[in-house]
Amino acid sequence: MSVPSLSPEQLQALADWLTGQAGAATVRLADVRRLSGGAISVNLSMDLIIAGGPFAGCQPVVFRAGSPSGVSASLSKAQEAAVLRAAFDAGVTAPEPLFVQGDGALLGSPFYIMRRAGGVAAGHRLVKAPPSPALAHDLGQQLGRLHRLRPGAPGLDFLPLPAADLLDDCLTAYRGWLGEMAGLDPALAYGLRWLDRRRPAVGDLVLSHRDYRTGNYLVEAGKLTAIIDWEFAGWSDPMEDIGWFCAACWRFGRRDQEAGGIGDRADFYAGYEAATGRPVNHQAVRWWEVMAHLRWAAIAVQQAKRHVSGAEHSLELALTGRMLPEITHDMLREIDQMEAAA
Amino acid sequence: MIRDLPDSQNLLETALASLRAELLPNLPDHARYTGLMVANALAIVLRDLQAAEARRRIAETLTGLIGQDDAPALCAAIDAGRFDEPAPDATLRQALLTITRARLSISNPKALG
Repeated sequence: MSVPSLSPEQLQALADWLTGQAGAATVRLADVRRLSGGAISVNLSMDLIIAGGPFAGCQPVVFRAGSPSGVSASLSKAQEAAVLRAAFDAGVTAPEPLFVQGDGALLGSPFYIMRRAGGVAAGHRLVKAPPSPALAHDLGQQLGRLHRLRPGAPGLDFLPLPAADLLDDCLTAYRGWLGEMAGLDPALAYGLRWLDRRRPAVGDLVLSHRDYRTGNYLVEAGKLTAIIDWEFAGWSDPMEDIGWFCAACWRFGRRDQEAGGIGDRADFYAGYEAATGRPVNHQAVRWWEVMAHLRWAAIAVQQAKRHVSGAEHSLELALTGRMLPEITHDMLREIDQMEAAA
Repeated sequence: MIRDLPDSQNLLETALASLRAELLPNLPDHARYTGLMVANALAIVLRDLQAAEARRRIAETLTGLIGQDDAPALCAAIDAGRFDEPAPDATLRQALLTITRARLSISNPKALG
């Protein structure tokens, strides 16, 4: 792990700060544990033992702070907390943010604290359970609720609006993330070219999670408990999140379960349509699934570069770079299917 | 040239076998993921040492498309729209699938299924 955890002094400073924030007599941090899955953020699980004030009692929470080397396009922790607040208030099953420290003055990097949900997030474990129509439907419904938020929604002014053409924005950004690899790997060059030539119609902009997939939500006893990892949220075409969720690269080997490896695409779509009252554009989702592979490839290249450049030596990042053939293979197969059906 | 005995491939195979048989089963939980990643990394390098055939297939496929074993030149041709028409597009896509499968045979043969 390259991101340091908190020192005893920092934990004490955090407890003192929380005492003021929570209007409490005392706050004690108990059972502080490092959570896995923090390639970009430091995630600590802890129980806040609070005496006095509106939060009195034992509050199971997650502390989340940024890492020294961020990834392009990720939100600051304070912005992430604001997105979480908007989603939570819109009725999305997201962890409620409780305390936000946005300027980094206390611990050296900005952080926020949110309620902790129980359950399992690991994709390879979730796809081992029998496929669940109810879970697929619920995840579609949750996404539909999120997508009811439009530009102008309160508290989200900091989220940049895409330029005149959203698809241009996406293609330019991912070409940038790929850097010289776009001119060295023909599969990537082809993906970029194909996406450019086959653009779908763009829908109205909605608040999008932009990493909505198996692995980024928690399930306990077959039920969704929290949608997590909101750092890439932004305004986008509603079909982008649907395509990302259904993309073959996020099915963790369960290719037959087209909704994130956990259920049927039809159930996921039905939940989404029930929440939004708008039909899913099936063709556009397929295009966004190809885009999902290209974007994941671009992220993988960035992660590999973080390792190779020496910014963050990590075997995990190194191996992510070597996933490129797998990602582009899925992408090419997806394009092949679409062209065969056209 | 003086030959090393065993050669690097044999040495790596032996190291990987020891890792899998003797170390991985005995790693504590917190180190298990790292252990599996190390085994994966070594296995990729081992397959890469044995990948002459995959590399030959990639070179041959590139040459079939643009007359030379030159991936950057193919990228430039794709960018310039030289494969946009339906027939060349289909040929290109099948060739890219062949190339990508050859690369997958090194990085993750399980994903070929």
